[in-house]
Amino acid sequence: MMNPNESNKKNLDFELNLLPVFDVLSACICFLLMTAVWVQVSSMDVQQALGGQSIAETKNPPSIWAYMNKNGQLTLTLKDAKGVTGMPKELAIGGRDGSIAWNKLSNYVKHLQAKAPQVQTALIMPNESSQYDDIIRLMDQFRSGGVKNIGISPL
Amino acid sequence: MLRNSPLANQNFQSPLSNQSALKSSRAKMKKTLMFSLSLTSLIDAFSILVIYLLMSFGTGEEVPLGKGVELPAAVKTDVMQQGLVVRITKNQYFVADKEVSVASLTKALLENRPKKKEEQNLIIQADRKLDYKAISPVLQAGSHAGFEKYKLAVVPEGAI
Repeated sequence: MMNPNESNKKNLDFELNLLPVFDVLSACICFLLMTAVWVQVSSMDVQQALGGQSIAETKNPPSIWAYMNKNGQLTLTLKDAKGVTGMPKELAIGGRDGSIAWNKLSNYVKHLQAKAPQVQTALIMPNESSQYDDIIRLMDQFRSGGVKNIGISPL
Repeated sequence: MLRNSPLANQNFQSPLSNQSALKSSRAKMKKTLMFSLSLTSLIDAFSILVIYLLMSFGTGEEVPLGKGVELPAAVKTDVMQQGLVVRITKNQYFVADKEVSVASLTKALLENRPKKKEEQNLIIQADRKLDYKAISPVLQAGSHAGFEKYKLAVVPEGAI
């Protein structure tokens, strides 16, 4: 007669075949590695308004205009910003060796965010020799300061 | 209690117990040739790798990056959407991967303009070292071709 303990042991001893698991995992890893995007490209959105309305009809939001000059100087002008106090209407940020003084610009954007949070539109006017990298960095600084709508003027 | 357990047949001996140099019998040599490979940790590593790769699948649209274009970096970026890609390298313009001249930019943009309104974005891939005079014609041509939304392709700051 069979010992009941022995039959129990047989039932509990089982083997799990891991080879199919390895196959599935390996195939999955190969597929994912081949289709993986290592550098994700993002975008910075720029909208361009179409001139469908007359100037009298259009209500201009408070905005900041940034003129990029050839020597790296940046001229920032506040437009249609009624009721904004403690901010200069126009400010020129001097360049250093032909490049923009980013620290000064960062301070200005922080100041603008604190004093005039209603300014959410910026228009960038580069010159023909402005570097694309500088334009993107300027847009990035504005966006970091809460300016959502950014426009760029063609030459 | 251990007799009924599935662990009853497991070898509880330490792998180092057979390593003694004092015992040098033939039987002992046979034992050392038989080894067991622990697969649990390997499956764990595989699973973690699969989960990581699945998580890193982006939700945005994939835009192929052209050769010879080093994109600028930015911190505050938007998710890329579908649209018509214009690639600008030094003195060369590519609309949907076909080289076009500056004069025929508007025509090329009109021809390749997506039909769906939500896809009518003009994606500009330009090299970071380019001057604005090389980019401005694309903006003008895009405006003439009726594009309202421009997407300047950038690389997120942390991704470089």
